[in-house]
Amino acid sequence: MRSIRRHRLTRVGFVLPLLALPALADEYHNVNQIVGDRALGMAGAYTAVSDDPAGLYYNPAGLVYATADNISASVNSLQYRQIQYDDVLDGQYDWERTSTQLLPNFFGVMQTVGPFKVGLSSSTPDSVSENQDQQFEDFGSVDRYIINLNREDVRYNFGPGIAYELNEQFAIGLTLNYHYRVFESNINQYVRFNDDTLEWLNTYLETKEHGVRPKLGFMWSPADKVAIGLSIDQTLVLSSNTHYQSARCRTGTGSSGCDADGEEAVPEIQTFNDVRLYPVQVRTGIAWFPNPALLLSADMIFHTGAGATENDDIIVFSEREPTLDVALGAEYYWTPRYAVRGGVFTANANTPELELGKTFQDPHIDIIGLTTSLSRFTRDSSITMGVMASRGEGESQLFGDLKNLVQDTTVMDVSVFLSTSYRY
Amino acid sequence: MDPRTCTLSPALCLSLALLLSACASAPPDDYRPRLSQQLEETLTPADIQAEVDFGRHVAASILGRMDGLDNDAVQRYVNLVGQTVARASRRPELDFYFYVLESDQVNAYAAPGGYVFITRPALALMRDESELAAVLAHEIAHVDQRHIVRALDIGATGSDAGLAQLMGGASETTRVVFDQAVDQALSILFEKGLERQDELEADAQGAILLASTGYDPGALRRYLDRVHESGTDQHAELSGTHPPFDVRLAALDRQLHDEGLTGLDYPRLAERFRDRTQP
Repeated sequence: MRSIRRHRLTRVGFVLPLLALPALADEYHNVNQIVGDRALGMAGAYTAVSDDPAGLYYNPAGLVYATADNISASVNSLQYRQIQYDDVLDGQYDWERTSTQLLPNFFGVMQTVGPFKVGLSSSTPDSVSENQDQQFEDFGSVDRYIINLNREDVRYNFGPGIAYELNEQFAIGLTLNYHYRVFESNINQYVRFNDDTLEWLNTYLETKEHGVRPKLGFMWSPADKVAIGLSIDQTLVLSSNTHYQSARCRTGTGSSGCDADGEEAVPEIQTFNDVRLYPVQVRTGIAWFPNPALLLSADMIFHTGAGATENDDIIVFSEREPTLDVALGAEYYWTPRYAVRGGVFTANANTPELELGKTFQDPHIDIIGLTTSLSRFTRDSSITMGVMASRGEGESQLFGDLKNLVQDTTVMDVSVFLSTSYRY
Repeated sequence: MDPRTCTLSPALCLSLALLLSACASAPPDDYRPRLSQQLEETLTPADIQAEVDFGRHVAASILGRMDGLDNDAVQRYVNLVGQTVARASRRPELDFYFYVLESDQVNAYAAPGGYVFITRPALALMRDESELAAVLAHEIAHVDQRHIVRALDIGATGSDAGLAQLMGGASETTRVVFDQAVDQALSILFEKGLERQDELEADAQGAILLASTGYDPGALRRYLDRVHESGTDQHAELSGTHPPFDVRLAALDRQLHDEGLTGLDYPRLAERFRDRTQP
């Protein structure tokens, strides 16, 4: 069985028989972009807070505790990401992929309508943009090796939510998001060997998904100044369309010509309509409001595993393992006009740890991150500036059929975000 | 639930007791607001002027409905007592005015901006000056807390900014909305009443104002008890626009006890009150 996310770049005896496409994608983590205004500064530890439009994402039940009838919030972030694979070529050359992107992190509005709080939000819970342009010369049997990779993977959520206060201790809420995900990848590799033969590979992969992401939330106030939140959601893909094309051309004695993904056939675009299975997400949070100046919160984020999607002998989307992540956040107002927030979060890999002797293994990189933000308030509005930084180390298997070769991998992510919130 | 008398296992009893006691804790609306929301209380000079101008229109409408008591000495006395209490108000930027109205009802009203009215029958039920000060303090607390302004539905909110925009507008539409806001304020004062929580807050703050001014802080409790016991139709309007008497009396009892305001030998000034109000 082979995966369409593995691409052949082969020559008998060459060191790069198979190349895994997305060596580190956020599809290998369940916690990706942290969205929201206050929530981002608190590392996403927001399930038991959620008393502003960001509650539509974390826990819609929290909307009933919003402290203004009408609130809007908008967050944008500038993200820089760097992924480094150690000793990829000839045991000495590293690969490096970087990206810079400006993201519409979150926008949400909410209003009071009778006994209900209703809202509308747009969020980008997952976004990756990677670029690799590297050239290596004169190693092993290779005279020149060039790799060019461009990849984008963005997930959008957009939809309404509603919340209702059952009594002073309990509230319930529901968000129904439209899910749209677009994945696009393009890889070009060129190899010229010392004997003047050439090999060139091009791979293109595109997936577009449409679906829904319902989220049910509960908020409980079990004790004075303490809130407990619980939300459950799952993305359900209603339609998916994947286009895949891979072609290899080479020159050489006796094996010149082009084929498709290693098969002796004319390259053609293959289409798959199989849908990706997403895990169920269960977020539980506790928040302590000891006084109007201080807020402490903690979230546990559990994702179930998700099965693979196969088409005949081809794995279109691979299997995912359960993950348990945590987020801790704090907010402190030193005057009514200024607040500072901070937090720490984990983004554990939803893949098994790599083992030598196995092939076609997904990368396994556990990430830990820090966030901080500073807000300035006026009577009706606030502006916030913050930074999120994360780092993870793990292993990847860039060349899937080399069972005894894995690469140490380091990922680093730094985001600067700006947000505004308006109450009226 | 008392764990000592619970027949279930000790751990379960303790858990249930904790859970039930927790359920009686403060509601989330009490502890969730953050410090930045104090800024929402910050009033600009334009906000204050708008509140005063709006209150003046409401006061004029009240005087259009009811005559004032034709007794300058009583009016002067009531105004003097009111000014004394108002010196302890949280709104030093406001000028307060106090006026006695001819009416069949036992009631008092506070228009935004510091315009306070009390009816002649309400005055007649009082026994001393501290009770007059208590009722006026309750109304001053409504003004302090801008209860009427907050209760107005101006542009989907009762914000001060909305009121300032309304007062500053010159269009026909703005004038219509302004007239509607005045009608709404009158409806709150004479028919619907304020939120129950606002009334209880005014009672509580009024007691503090009384103590700060040097009057007996239990005066409002005595007066409300007497109005309640009077059992006449005169207090029908007061009952209709305020929380039930037993609720207000119980809340006042709790507050006076919790804040150590019981048993104080603060002046009531019954004789002076009689001299000034009963010619």
